[in-house]
Amino acid sequence: MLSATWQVVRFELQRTFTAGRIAMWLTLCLFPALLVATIQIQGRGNVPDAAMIVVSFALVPQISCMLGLLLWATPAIGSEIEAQSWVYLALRPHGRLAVALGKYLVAVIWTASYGLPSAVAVSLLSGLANPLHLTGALIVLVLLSCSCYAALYLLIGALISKRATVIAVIYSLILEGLIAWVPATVNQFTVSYRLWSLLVRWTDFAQLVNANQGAGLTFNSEPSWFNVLALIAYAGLVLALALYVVGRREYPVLSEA
Amino acid sequence: MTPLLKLNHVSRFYRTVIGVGDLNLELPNGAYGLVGPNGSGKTTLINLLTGVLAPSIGSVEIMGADPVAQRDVLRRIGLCPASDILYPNISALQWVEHLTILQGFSQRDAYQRAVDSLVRLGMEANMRRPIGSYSLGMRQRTKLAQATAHDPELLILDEPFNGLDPIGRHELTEFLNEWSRRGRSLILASHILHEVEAITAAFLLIHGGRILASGDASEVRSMLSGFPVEVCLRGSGLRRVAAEIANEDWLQGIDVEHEPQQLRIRVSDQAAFQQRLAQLVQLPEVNLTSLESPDGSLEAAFDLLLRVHRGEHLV
Repeated sequence: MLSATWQVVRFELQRTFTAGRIAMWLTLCLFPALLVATIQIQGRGNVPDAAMIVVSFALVPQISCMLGLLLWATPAIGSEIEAQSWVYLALRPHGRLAVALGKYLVAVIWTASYGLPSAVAVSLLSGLANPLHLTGALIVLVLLSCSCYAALYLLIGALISKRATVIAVIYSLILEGLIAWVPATVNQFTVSYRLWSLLVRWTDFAQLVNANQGAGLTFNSEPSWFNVLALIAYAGLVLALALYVVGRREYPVLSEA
Repeated sequence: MTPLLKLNHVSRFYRTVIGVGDLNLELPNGAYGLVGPNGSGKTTLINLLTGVLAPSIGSVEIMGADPVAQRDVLRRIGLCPASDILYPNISALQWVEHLTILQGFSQRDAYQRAVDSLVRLGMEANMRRPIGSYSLGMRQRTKLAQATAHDPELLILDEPFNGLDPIGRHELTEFLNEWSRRGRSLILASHILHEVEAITAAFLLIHGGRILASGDASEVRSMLSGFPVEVCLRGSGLRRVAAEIANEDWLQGIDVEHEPQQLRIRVSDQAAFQQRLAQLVQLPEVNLTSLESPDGSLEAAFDLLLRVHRGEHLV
């Protein structure tokens, strides 16, 4: 099973070296840094630090990582069905699980491979007096973001093999883009809430905006290890669920001509 | 001895549509043709045999194991599906190696097996080129290579002759005959009867999701001996022939056609008809130029089975 998964990772990474995918990688890697640089130029270096922290968070571990994972993790199963290759993979004893797990890992690796340099570039361009705090925080957040969203999108793709990307985008906009910022208990079940809580804890954001207890409803005051553990548990649980679905579900295969 | 496959009241539904219905079958190791028109349930049956689909009712055993629950049995099966390969940027060697590793082989073993399999199928010169540049015939060979690289005990092929030129068809026929000669089992699904007949005499006739008949050609012929067949006579004196046989017990229907002049007779007992016909051709005004009847070929037997299945000729 593990060697089959590793083979899927190797095979899928090999397939990433196409002009289109390399162009996509470069775009997703560079656009956050270019946007931050533009903001700094437009603001003539007077952009508030708190705003730059928010922008960096929104651009790298959120938008940029989510976009990459939407491209890789969501169609993990659907693309094989569309390419009529699912039947070849499903006929291998551990084919279904190896493909799902392997593609999850590829999605994380591919997204992290541009997310990490992008995080470094964004924090260095942020204009903060001490950008290293932000760099370290963004690096960890990128890894956590990739792990959680890849599992989530894989699950969505496993459940809905057609138009999974559309559903995943809608889910992300509503749950992770909107509900996560609603000061209510429900936001605690989103990845964004945990990631943002970690960033607030690991940077000077709270001091910069004088956040009081009320403002803390969009982030928590739990210890960092708790939020990290919650995110790892989230990723593990959702990934296990996705693998269960892929292992059990009958996907549409070629019908009679 | 464990049968090759065992179907126990297997039905598979697609919502309200029956893919296959109430299949009961037990086959020993060997080579079988799964013959039926498009949409007859061949691919559904193959998907059930390979665990891609689970039966809605009943149970499937392949080499003694349930292919859905006991997935290790899949190592002993090679499947060449009807679907095309749509990995344009990957070479045949990379793809076959990839799928062979997923069968549980080490990378080195898988590479060697992939090379051997592709070379055996005449892909040596092209196996390092991207699949996107292949002809349909090359893609069929590549599909067959991935199905045989792990040396399975049972090879299942779904319409393998599609898109092959005459030389490719001949080579594939030779390959499959050699496969059978080596004592390996084979299930070959096709809607082209003579392709199946060139490889095996044992076949399953499937139509409307049901197995109409199974066995070799002679078994099916004897099974059909009690069913009515249609005979077409041409020549002169056909009215006299019609008058002579009008009261025979075995006659079920008769049509006299003028353009061209011919007599279509439906008979329930071919032997009795042939005996009577031997007497009739001795009459001076009767001069038959041709007689067409089912010749015992698989195609004719299949045609008759379909008619029986549809309720035609059963008065």
